[in-house]
Amino acid sequence: MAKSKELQVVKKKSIGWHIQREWQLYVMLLPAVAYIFIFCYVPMAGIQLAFKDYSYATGLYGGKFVGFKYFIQYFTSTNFWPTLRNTFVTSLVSIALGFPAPIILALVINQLRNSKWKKVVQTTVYIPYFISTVVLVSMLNILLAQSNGVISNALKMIHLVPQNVNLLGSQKYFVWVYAISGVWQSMGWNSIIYIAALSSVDAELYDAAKIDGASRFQTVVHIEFPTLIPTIVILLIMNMGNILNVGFDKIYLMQNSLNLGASQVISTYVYTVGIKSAQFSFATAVGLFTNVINFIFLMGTNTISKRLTGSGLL
Amino acid sequence: MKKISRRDFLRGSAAAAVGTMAFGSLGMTASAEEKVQLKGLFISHSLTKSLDEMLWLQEIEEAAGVEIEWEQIYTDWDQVKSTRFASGDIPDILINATADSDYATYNGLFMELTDLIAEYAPNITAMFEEQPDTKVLAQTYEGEIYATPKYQGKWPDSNTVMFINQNWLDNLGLEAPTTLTELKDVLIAFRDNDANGNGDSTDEIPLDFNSWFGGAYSLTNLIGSWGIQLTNWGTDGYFAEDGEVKNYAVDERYKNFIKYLADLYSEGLINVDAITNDYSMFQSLSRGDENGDAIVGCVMGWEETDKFGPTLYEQYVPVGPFVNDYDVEAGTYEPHWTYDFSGLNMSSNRICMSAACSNPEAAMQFMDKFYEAEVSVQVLFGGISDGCVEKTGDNSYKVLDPLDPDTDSGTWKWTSTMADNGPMYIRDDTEIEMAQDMTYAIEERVQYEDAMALVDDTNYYPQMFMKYTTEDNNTMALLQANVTNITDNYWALWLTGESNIDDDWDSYVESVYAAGLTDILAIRQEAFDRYRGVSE
Amino acid sequence: MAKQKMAANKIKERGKSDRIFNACVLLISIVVFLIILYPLWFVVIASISNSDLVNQGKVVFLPKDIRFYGFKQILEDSRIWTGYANTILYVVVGTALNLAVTMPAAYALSRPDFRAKNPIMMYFVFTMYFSGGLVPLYMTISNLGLISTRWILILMVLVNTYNLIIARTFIQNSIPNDLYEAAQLDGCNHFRYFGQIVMPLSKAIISVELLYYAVYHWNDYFTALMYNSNSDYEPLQMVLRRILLLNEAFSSGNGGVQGGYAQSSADQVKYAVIIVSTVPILCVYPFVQKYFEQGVMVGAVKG
Repeated sequence: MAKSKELQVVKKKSIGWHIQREWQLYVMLLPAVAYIFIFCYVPMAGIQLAFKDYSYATGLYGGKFVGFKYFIQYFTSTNFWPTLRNTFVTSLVSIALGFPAPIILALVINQLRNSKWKKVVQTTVYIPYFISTVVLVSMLNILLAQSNGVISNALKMIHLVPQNVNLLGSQKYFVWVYAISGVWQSMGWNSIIYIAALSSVDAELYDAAKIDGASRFQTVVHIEFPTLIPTIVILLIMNMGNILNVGFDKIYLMQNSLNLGASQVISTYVYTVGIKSAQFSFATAVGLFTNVINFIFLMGTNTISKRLTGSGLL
Repeated sequence: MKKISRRDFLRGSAAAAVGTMAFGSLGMTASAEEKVQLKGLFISHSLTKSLDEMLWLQEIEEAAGVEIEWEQIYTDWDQVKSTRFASGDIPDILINATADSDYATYNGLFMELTDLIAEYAPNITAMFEEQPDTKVLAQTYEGEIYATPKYQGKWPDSNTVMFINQNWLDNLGLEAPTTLTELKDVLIAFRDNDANGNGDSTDEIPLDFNSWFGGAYSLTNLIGSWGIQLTNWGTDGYFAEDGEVKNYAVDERYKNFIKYLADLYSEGLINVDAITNDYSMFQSLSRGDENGDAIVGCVMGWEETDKFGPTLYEQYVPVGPFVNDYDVEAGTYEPHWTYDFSGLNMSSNRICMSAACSNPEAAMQFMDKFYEAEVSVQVLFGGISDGCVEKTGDNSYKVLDPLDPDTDSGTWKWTSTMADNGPMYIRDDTEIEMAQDMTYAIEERVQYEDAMALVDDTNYYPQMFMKYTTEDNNTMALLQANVTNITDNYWALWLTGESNIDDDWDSYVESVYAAGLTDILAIRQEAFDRYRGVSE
Repeated sequence: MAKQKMAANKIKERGKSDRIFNACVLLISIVVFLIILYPLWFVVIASISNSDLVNQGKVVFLPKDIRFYGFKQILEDSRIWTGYANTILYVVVGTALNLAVTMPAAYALSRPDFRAKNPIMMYFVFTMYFSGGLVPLYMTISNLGLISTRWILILMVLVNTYNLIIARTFIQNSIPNDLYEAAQLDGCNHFRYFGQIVMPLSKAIISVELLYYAVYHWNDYFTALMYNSNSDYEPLQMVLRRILLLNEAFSSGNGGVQGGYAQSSADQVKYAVIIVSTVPILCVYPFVQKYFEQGVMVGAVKG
């Protein structure tokens, strides 16, 4: 309400009024804008490499223009569709499992009444974030080993997975192992922002709810969750804008001949090509392609969210 | 083999970007001083101590009249490389820093050395004459030389030995197997009995392996039993037969080879975790359980003390190659074994020079010093003044025990000198008394002497000597990635029985060829003919 | 009377459902806690057990064949202490600058009436997706004379777009706009409003940003890898990385590279590195955590 009223007021003001009012905002933005200009926009010219044959002799901006040669090379490769599909699937499952988990965790932690226990939980759950990918994958290899992995044995005991399954070497289970270990690693870390957002719930609302006789569950659903919605929307938009970026390191280390059909994603494929001969232009072209797709997803989700919730990134 | 280092190719190389010139290197000056000042870069093993602490290196700098300011990089060079090269930010001399494709990609960044070598490098010239393969290795497709290789000559003919537990054989009253059928029977005996005698008949793993195409300790080493000769690990499955380049992944014999192994697998004779285990897990398994009992019956390795640790190694002996009596009558194929001499003893791109080097003559003379007979030994095993090597005669040397009693000789070598990363030319007539593990390694390979005799000009296919145009190289890189994506997936599905090889085979072969194998083979054949000097 | 009874029943019912709710919450928290805890415990026992047994899957709940080779390797390395000192410097100075740049920018972008808001937002978002790659960046940094200086290790990510967006969203949604209008009536300009009202009300998001940036600087080895070759300036992660590689099993195939280098302990280093590098940064969290407590903000001011 207040917003639209204000906008009306604003419209009536003169341009001079705006400049007078807004120069301070520009000053506040200046350092960030200047930094981004120097470190991101100045080197941006490197993008044109995707359309050129690189040669050291002719330098960064020389080189023969080859148009979409490297894009076509990728699009016509037999690996184009499989890698694109694997990347999408891996990413979507990761988002589907990984996105709600920190929200639920934050709400649960926020509801804990025993403050000591709350602190213990809160400080433990985010530690996995600091475990390096190499160690994470080593641990998966040991704990999920087919013959005597502790966790795979436990899962088989409770019949959550078939008895003879090899969790590490299976096209069917690769995505789940990847996504669930990802949830384990980043759930706590990602919940921090939600926990912070929950601290801004208006105390008056709680009082009002109490007077209305709302149960605790109702308080969570009707007061706390709505507080999180703006944050959820923004993070979801940004997650969707990362749809074709999956963790290269982790997938590369998890890859083996048995799960290759599901684990060959765009970045690992480009890497395999690059091992044999470093191809700047090919890698740049594929990188540009994935980012264009990502950007489209970002803008698309943004538009949808603006329609549905009225708020978005832009 | 997968490298376990963390690398983000998209970041490192989408980075991909590029660069113009920039400043060359500023080494030089020195009109006032006697010595030529240069800058050097060494891509180091992470164990290696600072180059400034190597006395032998200071001695050769002194002798060559140069003074070098060294930069030593320990980690992730392949990530940093493209940035440094593309921006032109390189020193005068680079050791162990380049790859074949760099000279074309960064055309103009490196010095062409042919004339400099002829004029200022008698030792390198001698190496090219005495070991002509090293010259082949050094030259690009166009015949230019940008970097000089190494030749260390003392390493064995094969990287891989197959070991079997002799104690287990004795416990069960068995002979060492010599044919594929016997091998299977022995493995079954290992499976069914308490071979290690610890009271538990289920903890024995009859056969273990690591990785596949091109893997040093892969079961693909056994494909020699089908008469296929692999050279230098048979990278990506390529081999030669009667002068023709082939890939065994689409060979009918490979189908039978896989069937044999799938049979072993279905019998529970092969470690079920082998496909997903990484290298360090593979190594750990062979070193026994918590009570010091061996748990692996048969496995490949480099050398027994390395593979089985300081106590268990005594239980193992070399075995193979095996006569194929599985799908053909015994004697149809002569059993071959992987021949890796050139791969183990030579490698290209050891040392090169910036095109902007201020004093190429002095730099070349310094580079040549590494290739002197006495210096070469020190590059590999450590300096005489450093207390790593003793000169025992005019042309003979002894590698001394580590000065640090807590380390083994392998570690010590990598700690105290450039070791295998350095440029060197160890003459065939130089006598070197090496440490225990190398003595063992050479003794173990007596087992394969007969098989090694089967290597000849028509089936020896050292991929490292083949030269391609940049265009061909790029094409092959792209196509190989497509081919590997198929072949690397299917062997595992067939081995574990998840898919039936007879059903898949025809369409599999067709799709591998379609993915680019046809083109790759044509390019490779041409290069192989050129190498053998038989191009029509 | 009947009405009273009904109300009492309602309260009773609510009490019951709340108790069930509490039990569920507690149960979930315990399950999550255990799922997180076991692998962490595994890192600890793996860092002091015989690595061969760890790799064979024989170390499950308690360490076996205890040895401290891994920790010894790391802590005996003198470079590690310079690494700690450098990293602390980069974290402290870097994070301070990050906050000084990010928070005002986030505030400016959160103003609903700021006319250039969307184009500037786009200006930032675009760089999340499109970049020229490492080589042009290297050359830019080189032209600025920042290669192999401490400055580049501090300045590398002065503002992170993702963090900027999060801060903007938070300010936009948790600080009521009436506050600004009221302040404006009192003759408050943007600078004063930001400094005296927005900042104090944004303690929670400042804590989050602080944590994000500090952890980024703490974990960052890539900047040092690409843009620094002076070993005196090396951050902790770079030193640890080298120690880690030092103990990685020698890959096969180089011929005689082997030599069983401290075979059965080498992998300990992998796990010990996690502990050595994580424990100090964990100490930051409790200080930050208190700003996440409910109602430290809006309510207080409004009241």
